[in-house]
Amino acid sequence: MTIDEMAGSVSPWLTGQAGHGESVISTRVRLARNLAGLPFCHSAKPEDLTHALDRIRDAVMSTNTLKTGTYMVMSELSDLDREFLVERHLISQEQAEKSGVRAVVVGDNEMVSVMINEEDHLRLQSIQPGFQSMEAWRLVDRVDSDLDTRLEFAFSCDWGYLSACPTNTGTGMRASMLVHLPALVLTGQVNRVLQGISQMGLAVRGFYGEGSEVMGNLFQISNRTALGTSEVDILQSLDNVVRKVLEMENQGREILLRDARSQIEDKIWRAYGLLKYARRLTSQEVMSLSSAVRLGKCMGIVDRVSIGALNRMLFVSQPAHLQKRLGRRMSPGERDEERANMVRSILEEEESRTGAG
Amino acid sequence: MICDSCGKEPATVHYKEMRGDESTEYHLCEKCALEKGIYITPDKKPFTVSNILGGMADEVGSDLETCEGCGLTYREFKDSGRLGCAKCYESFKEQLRPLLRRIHGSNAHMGKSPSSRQEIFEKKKEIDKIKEELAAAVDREEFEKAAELRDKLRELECS
Ligand SMILES: [Zn+2]
Ligand SMILES: [Zn+2]
Repeated sequence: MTIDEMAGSVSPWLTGQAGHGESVISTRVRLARNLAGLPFCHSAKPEDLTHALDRIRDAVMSTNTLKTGTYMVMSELSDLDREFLVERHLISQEQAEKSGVRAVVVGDNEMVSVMINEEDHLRLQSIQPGFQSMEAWRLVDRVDSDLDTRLEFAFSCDWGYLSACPTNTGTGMRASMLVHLPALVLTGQVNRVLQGISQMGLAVRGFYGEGSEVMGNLFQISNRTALGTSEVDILQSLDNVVRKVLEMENQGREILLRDARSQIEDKIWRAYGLLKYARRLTSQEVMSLSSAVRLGKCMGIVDRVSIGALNRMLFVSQPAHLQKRLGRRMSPGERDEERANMVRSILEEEESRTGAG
Repeated sequence: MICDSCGKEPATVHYKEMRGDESTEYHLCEKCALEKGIYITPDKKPFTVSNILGGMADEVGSDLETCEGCGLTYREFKDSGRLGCAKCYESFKEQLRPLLRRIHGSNAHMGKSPSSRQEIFEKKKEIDKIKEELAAAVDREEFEKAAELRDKLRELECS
């Protein structure tokens, strides 16, 4: 699938139909691997990197999962295409920004992908809709085992898979869930809850992952340590913590409904109105307004729009997505106009589908 | 110095947190520091190993030690937070052992291993386990059991 084809479609993991899909947008599991006998990327010579790239591409493209995938070399893509892949959560900001011999292989349904020559020689990832850490793990594990028969990975019996950054050494695994926690934010409990999460050995980040700020009440909760705990145990503790957080979020929602029903309904419908009738919207606005509508959907206040449509809105209104869709570079002002059009048409479609229009 | 948080253990981690213009200094024991998540790598910013190592009085080895695999010095690693090659893990083993423990709270890999190493890895796990049991048996003065474990160990190590 080419980038242009991707731009015309929606990531399959945005359906919103998986378990806890209304509050957990997606689950991602990634594994860091390095080839034995070659220096890590940042200290490798260009010819080493080319050599690594060739070997890894051949191996990845012969795995069952990715043999029909799309191979893309970073230096051959336009800036816009690279931004698009970042927004799509298929490559990291780092992979998009740095020059050098870097690539990505994206599987047919975008649920599995492999970054080549990022911080580590390989970064395998799987994204699944909703609360599905075991399924995401099963998919990357399969690709990893398949690659294991073709490539030799740097590994020590003491410390596991060796990584350029010692924080990744061990399993090389980072598992994260993108969680929507509006009630915890509105009731002012979120900092306390997040603190609790970090005390349980997990980390919290914003929408775009590492280093990004929190927008639209979306949080990424992930494991922080990789050494000394098996993959499945890491996933289980992530699952447990996220379950606990969702429970608190639901309690927060009940409190809001009990103590502040009319304020909350007002906030939700105002947000809906803005999304539906505004003629210019920034991406920040879409994130925070759609967060309110999503809360309304979960609380049974708004019926006329599906979670899948709200997920779609979040993604297609990102700057590079908009520009790919329209097929040209646009100024921020133009984008705000197009974004409002896009959001309006999604809502109109939903309204006619649910008979609310 | 005693840990700010529990007031019991000696403080071995000294950490400065910046919030806007204000900075707060913490002096914590290893356990409390881990609980407070102080070893989270500040994302995006390079993981500054020197921050972590700054509080380690028992730092071993010299900064100028060099990895024979890639030529990286330990000082360069402290500055960048990135190791140069897999051999670095051998070259800086003594320094990395406490560092990894501080980051992960553990020093021994659990979980998946490459198929080519699986047998060795699993054998090593078993040996480690028996060694632990052996130490415990000696502690409890269960000499008969200890002797049994010692035989088992010898057998495993020879095979
Ligand atoms: Zn303490
Ligand atoms: Zn090295």
